[in-house]
Amino acid sequence: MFKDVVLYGSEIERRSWTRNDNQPGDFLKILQQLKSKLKQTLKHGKNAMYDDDVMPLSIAKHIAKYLAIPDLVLFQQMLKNGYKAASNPALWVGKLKTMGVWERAMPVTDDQLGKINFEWIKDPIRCFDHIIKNPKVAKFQCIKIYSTLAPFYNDLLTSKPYDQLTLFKVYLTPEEQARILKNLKLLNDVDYSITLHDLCRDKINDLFEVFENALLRELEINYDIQDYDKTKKFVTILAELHNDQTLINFFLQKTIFDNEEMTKFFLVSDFGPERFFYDEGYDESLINEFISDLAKIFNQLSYLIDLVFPTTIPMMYKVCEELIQNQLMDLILSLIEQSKKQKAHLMFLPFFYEKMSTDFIRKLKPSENAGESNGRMVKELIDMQFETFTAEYMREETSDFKVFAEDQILQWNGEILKREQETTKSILKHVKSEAKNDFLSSFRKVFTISGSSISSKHDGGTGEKSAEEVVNYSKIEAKAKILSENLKSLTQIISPELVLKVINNSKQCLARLYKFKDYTVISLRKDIFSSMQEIFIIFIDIISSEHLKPGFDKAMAYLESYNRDEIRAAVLGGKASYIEPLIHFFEMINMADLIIQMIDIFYKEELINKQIVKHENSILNPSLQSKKKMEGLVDKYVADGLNVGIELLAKEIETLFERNLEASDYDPPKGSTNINIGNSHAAKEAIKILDENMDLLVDSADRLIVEVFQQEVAERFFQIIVKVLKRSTISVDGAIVLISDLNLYYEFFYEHIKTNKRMVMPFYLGLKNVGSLYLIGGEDSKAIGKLVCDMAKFNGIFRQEEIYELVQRRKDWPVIKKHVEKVMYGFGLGDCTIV
Amino acid sequence: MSGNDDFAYDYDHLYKIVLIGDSGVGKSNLLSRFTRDEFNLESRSTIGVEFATRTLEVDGKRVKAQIWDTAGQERYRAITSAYYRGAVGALVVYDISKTESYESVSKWLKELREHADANIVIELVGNKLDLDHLRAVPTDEAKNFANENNLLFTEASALSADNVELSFHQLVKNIYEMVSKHQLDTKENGGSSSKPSGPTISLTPAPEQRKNSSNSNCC
Repeated sequence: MFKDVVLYGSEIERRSWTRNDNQPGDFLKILQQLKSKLKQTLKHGKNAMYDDDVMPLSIAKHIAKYLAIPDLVLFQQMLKNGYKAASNPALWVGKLKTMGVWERAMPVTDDQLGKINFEWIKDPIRCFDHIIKNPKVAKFQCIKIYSTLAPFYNDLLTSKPYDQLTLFKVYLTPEEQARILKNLKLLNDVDYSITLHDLCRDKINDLFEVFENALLRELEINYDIQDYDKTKKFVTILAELHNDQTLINFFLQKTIFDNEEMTKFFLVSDFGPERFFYDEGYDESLINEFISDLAKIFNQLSYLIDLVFPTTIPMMYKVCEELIQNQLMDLILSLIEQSKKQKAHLMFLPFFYEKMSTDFIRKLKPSENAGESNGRMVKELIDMQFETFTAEYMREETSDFKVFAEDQILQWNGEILKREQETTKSILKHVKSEAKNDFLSSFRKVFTISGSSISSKHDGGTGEKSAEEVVNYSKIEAKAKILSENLKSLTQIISPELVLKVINNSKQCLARLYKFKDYTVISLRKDIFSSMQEIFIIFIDIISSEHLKPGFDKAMAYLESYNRDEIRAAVLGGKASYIEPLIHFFEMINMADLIIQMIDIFYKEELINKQIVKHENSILNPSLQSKKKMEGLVDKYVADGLNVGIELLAKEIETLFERNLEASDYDPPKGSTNINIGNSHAAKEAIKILDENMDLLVDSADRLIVEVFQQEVAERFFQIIVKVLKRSTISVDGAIVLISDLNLYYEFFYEHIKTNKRMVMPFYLGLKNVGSLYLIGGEDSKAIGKLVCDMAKFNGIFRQEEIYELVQRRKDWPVIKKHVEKVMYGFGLGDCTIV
Repeated sequence: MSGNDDFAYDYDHLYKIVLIGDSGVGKSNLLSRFTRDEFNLESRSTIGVEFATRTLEVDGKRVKAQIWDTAGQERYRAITSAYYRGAVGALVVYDISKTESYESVSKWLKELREHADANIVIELVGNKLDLDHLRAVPTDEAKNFANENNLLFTEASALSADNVELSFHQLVKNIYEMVSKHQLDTKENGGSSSKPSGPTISLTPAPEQRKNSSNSNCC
């Protein structure tokens, strides 16, 4: 017995080194002390059993931790302190914990302990089934379990062949055998006797292996004869013995690798990707068929899995993983490669992905094994598989769209160029015949044309015309005709139809990309969304920089050349609307507006409503920025075009006054009987021009633009009238005509300016007031002076100097000047008496 | 304004007629009814002076009426005086539904006497006859007043066009008779600037008085 103790002592010493539980130095010291004490005790022959000094409690407790259950029983009987140590419930709880049964044990209060009969504990199969979680019964349970299992455990230590072992004799069903083996393995965990422990463990493991192999054999046999009830039985035992991976391998092997039907289905050469495609297209029904077949396979396997495997084994996931990642991959790859060959790649991939990620998933039956997330799990696997293809497709989709859009624009520009060249050619034909094919003279004419067109700007193009100039004129005329034709075709420079075509194409692109909207790989989904934005931005950039901008630049160039005197004269031929080209221009603007509206709708439908753009109004939204840039571009051209038109109109009216306003209009000859008592001819003509042009834009341009245009016209006209006044001489009789004219202007603008009268009418009110300056008789010269002062004060339109300048246009100015100035600038020294 | 004056010689006589009266009594509408047969319900107040013409036949002669439609509130006497200069007829208009406008008639007559030719033919017109149910000025009272002051008198409505033709015709006819009685050469009269030199001289004291008064204010 003491020998045993010594033996254990050395055992502890050894273990402490290996386990490194404590400070080995301290522990060694204690053990050495213990050894010498024990030797002394043996020498003196004292009864050491009741001597506390032989072994301190702390040592005893430590030793107890490393004793197997039978040794522990002896230990407590041998020493007083051994008994104390073994009575510590914590020691036994520790053992239950080591066996891994304590955590799952059933908690029971002290009061209820008496009611438990622990009958199961005598059954070697069920002894671990109902462990009570109460320290008070920990020792009891440990010892009872040990005594229940000991016959089987000790049987293992004999050198019997496996089939002679008691446990296989007592227990005949595989379930019971599995259980008893598992129980023995647990017991082995607390067997601290080093030799026995290892010996037993090896034997148990060997038994397990033999047993599991036997089980697998049984499993396979039963699976092959499709006895799924029995299969399930063996699966359950194996699963209980934690053979998940073995089971998974077994099932994959059976259903996929060794399944002829399955391998055939997934064999690329048998699959024949070619049959799905024709030139630039694919056969949807064949794809549908394939999807159905594929779903059938999945469902079939899912059915089997639910029949045989417990949900604890992620069998469905493993099967899906294998099928999608390894088996299906080859087929997908072959399909995509074939689609590229047939140039149906961009159409096919999103279609196929959609089929796989929606139709296919929908066709899957619920799987008990995979649970509710079955569809999602499969989709995630599919998405992962499609990742590279999708990324590639996405890049191609954007670049392909860019090419398409650019190509469309290029084609359109080519058409315009061709049309213009044809027009030019047909008009120039006439000029050539007039030039009589004399190379030298026509060469010289080229120079004189440019020369004369420059000089005509300076001298107004009047005066004698040589024969040379007559020919030149016809050249200019031709030029004008070309310009006129080009102006008429302004509306054909930009094309909403073209834009619509590109929009529709990009819509299709976006719709294809949108099929990936629920992509489970988040980074790729973000890429998809930014690709959609990219397509929109490419679209806007191309339309604005390749279509709108060059179109408007061309239109502006036409408008500006039209504004040149000699061409205008040729185009108008005396009678035409002066801002007619502007109408064409605004028809063009309308088209641009239409385009912008189309794009706006497109933007809202495709990007906002589908939530592709997250921060709708942010400056970080590149789509919105591009869109705004484009709108800004059109606005700029609207302003530029308006400017050209207004210039044109103003110039025309100015010329009209220069030519048509007679000196006698505002200064009728004295005593003449046939004085004009209505409006001057020039005023009537000017109003006629205004009337023809003022409302021209009303239906062709935006309301706001019309207002700006009209207001600008009104202001420019006012300036012209002031200029006219400043170079007229106005008599008191002529004032009636002048006031009639000013009233006419006032009425005209009052009628035509609808919304912003406040901005415009003061000008014409000012003119009316100025008119009365001329109506006053010369004898009231002082009153005129007073009026000049007041007008500058009370009317913001004219400054004092201007009023003064205007009043000088009175015919009798030299006579009344002195009196008026006296009032205006105060009295001279002689006139004022200081009191 | 009127489309008939394409030729300067489409008339035998030209008369300048002024339309006066408080603002809002309907002068411009009377005029537009007479010259263009138009009525504008939303008419705005006249600014400065506006002209309209219409040629009538009187005694087999074509008489062109050049009618000066005034604002009815001119701050500057010099301008007022320019309005009246050379006028041979005047329509003094009041609103029969507004007593004040009738009470102002004396003021307008005073102005006429100050600025216009002494022989000017004046007609008192009570406008807005369509507002008879709101009448504030009895016909008899106005009629008596007109008789006492040697004025022609009508009540008219620019809105319904009642008596508009009549009032203008009556005035023009009386002017024609007046001018004929004074045996004035119509052609000389047409050159209005030369003719009324006589009366204008008699008017000059007015602005001068004003000047004098402002003079004393100043110094």
